[in-house]
Amino acid sequence: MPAPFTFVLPSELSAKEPPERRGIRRDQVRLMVIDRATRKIEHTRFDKIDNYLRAGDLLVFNSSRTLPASMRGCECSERHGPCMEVRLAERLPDDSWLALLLCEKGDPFGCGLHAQMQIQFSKELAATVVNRDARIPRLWRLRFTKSGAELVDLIYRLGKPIRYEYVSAPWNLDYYQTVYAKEPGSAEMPSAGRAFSWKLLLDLKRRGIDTAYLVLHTGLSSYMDDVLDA
Amino acid sequence: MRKLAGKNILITGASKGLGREMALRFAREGAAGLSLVARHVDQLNKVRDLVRKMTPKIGIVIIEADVSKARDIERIVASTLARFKGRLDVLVNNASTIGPSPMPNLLDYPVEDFRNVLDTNLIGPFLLIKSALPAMIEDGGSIINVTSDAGQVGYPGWGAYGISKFGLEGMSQTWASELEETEVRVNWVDPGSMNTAMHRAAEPEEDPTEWADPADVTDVFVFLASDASKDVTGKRFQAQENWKVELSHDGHKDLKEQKD
Repeated sequence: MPAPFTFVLPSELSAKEPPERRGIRRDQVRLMVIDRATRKIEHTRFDKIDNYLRAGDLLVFNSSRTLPASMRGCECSERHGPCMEVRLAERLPDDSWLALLLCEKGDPFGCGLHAQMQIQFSKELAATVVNRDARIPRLWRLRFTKSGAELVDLIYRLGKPIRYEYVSAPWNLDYYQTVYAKEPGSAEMPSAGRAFSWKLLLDLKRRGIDTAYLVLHTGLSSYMDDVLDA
Repeated sequence: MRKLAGKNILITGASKGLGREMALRFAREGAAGLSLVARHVDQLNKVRDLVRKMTPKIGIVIIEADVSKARDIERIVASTLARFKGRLDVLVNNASTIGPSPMPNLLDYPVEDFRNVLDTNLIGPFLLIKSALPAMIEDGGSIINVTSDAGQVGYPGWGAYGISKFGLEGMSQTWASELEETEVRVNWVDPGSMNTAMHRAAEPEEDPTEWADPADVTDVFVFLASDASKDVTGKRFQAQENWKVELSHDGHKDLKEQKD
């Protein structure tokens, strides 16, 4: 599938670190506003968003909490199989998980990934690779040896936030959360609301702008595959 | 009518002393879910077994964690909200450490121990409130911080512990002020002298039989966790003196009014 549009992002404009580490508050990042009627474009700051809202307007937030969804595991077999980064993508209704498996050495997909493989993460946690996903063939379905809050506890013990190459340092999970994050389940931060601070939310409430929350866990933004990512 | 019917409650320092007694009492008062946090899982499991024996239908999650570690705080809240489907009604910041025992004077206080006491007794509650707040902001909730008279009086020898409780009381006032227009209320309780392992370690020369049994000071915590206190925020309670309210977060105003 061809990309709908192309553009070049100069590397100096990539978000290499969170705004708080650049000396500004999370709600002081830039905001672009497009007037749908006139097509006029304005550049302003996020904490001035109330200039564009009226009492009675409704803001809907995704309160899914970001998981430390990147875990290191090794194939558990007699021949001491390969080690890999497991990026959790989505929890399925039967309590299994879709995940991207990236081999640590050489070709990230070339270390003999296969169904029925056992991956050991720690003494307490392992997973069985069930099968390849039919919709997104880069993903595999995993079944962990734990479930529910017990699994969440171990993911938080063992995992770290998924980090892409342009991010300059391994930032704490805290930087990958919206201030209103509740239920854990997102592979990556539902980032549209990251710029909201509590102060801004309370100011908006005071001005009569309504808020509502729903939970929509996000998946991976990249499958490390140009065709699938396009 | 049980006072805490339907409530999901997180208690730190829940393996012994006051935390353990709160867990048992909250279960008896009909709590729907308990998230019990402490460093020692064996003792937590014993509390869980007692709670389950008493109230078999209660939802209970046991979390072995150290509130002085920021990474553990995220895990505590995530595991709790995974179990309670994103809803938390009450957070009790009860865990605390006394520091080295016997307690050194400030002049002799090792800086690493000083930091550890502040991390556990002050930074931990700050991070827990910050992380758990989203689960309370929509439907309202109650945050209860456990303080001490050492948080109001600078007793010699109570070093970092007293200073951390001064900080906790100040922080409680600030949270209460900042959340005043929300349905989340913040109050703090001085339980008074109790016969707990921590207190016995702090004052080994004193007679612990003169101190209250922690099971006897839980009434005020039930009140603050329940809807009976839905209009109460920013108050300091003394558990053993008829819940005397000493100060509100707008305490300066109160003092001025009294003076006039």
